Amino acid sequence: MEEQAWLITILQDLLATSIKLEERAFYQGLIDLANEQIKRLDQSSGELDGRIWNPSRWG
Amino acid sequence: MKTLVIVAHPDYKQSGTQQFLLHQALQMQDSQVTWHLLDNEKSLDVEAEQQLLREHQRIIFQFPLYWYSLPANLRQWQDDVLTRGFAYGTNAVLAGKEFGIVVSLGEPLNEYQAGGREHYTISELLKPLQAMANKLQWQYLKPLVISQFEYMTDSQRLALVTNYQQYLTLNDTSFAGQQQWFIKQLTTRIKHADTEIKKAQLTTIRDQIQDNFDELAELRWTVELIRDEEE
Repeated sequence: MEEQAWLITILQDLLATSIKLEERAFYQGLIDLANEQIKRLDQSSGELDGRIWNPSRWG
Repeated sequence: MKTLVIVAHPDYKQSGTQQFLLHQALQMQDSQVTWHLLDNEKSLDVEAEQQLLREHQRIIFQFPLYWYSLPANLRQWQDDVLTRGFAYGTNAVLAGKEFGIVVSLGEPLNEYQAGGREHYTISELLKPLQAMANKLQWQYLKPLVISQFEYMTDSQRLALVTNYQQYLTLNDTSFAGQQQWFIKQLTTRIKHADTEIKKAQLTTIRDQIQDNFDELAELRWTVELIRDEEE
């Protein structure tokens, strides 16, 4: 997850140092996109773990 | 894909919304967007208008809602340009395009519903344009509605920029499509970056977004596979 934290940090830095509205919009959009990716990665790997850990199929 | 934005506004220069949208459309590098303002002073060159339609795949009407309808010049444009034999009927050449609407409202969007001050929904009010798209065999895209631009906060305006740019150029509105759109935008910006540092920075960002995209696709694929086996 370190690389994800780095991604958000660098995007936030770019957002804070950009002056043009269009650039700020782009970095804000990328932050929202990256956060959504991270959330979905977390949910999907959670679902995968849950489905693999299935006691009814042990035996 | 080439996009034609047909802009109609009775007082274009005084419109904060239209000036904002124009500025954002012009900022897009390498995009295939044509911004076409209907001039209120000049008479229409019908052949030139028809040629523009031929050359573009996605056609957008962009206008403020006037008495629940189009501004008069855009309404006149329909009569003059979308003629039988060109736009519809035998030998028509315009079928198969995509049709989008960017409409701005002076009232809050939530008043446009049963029980609201405006009573009717935007979907109901835009029905004549939907019927036009149906007649022309154009695929009707979900409209982009901009409500009370002048009261928008900074973060709402930032979101509007991205929504608008995507509305003009995005093919697939799913999350996968959005991820690919951003990856493509990053690639364009890497190409145009003015310093090596910026280029390197944007490249690492793009690679991480791409890695996430690939990993997410693989995870979804594995989860679907296990689900199918279980059911």
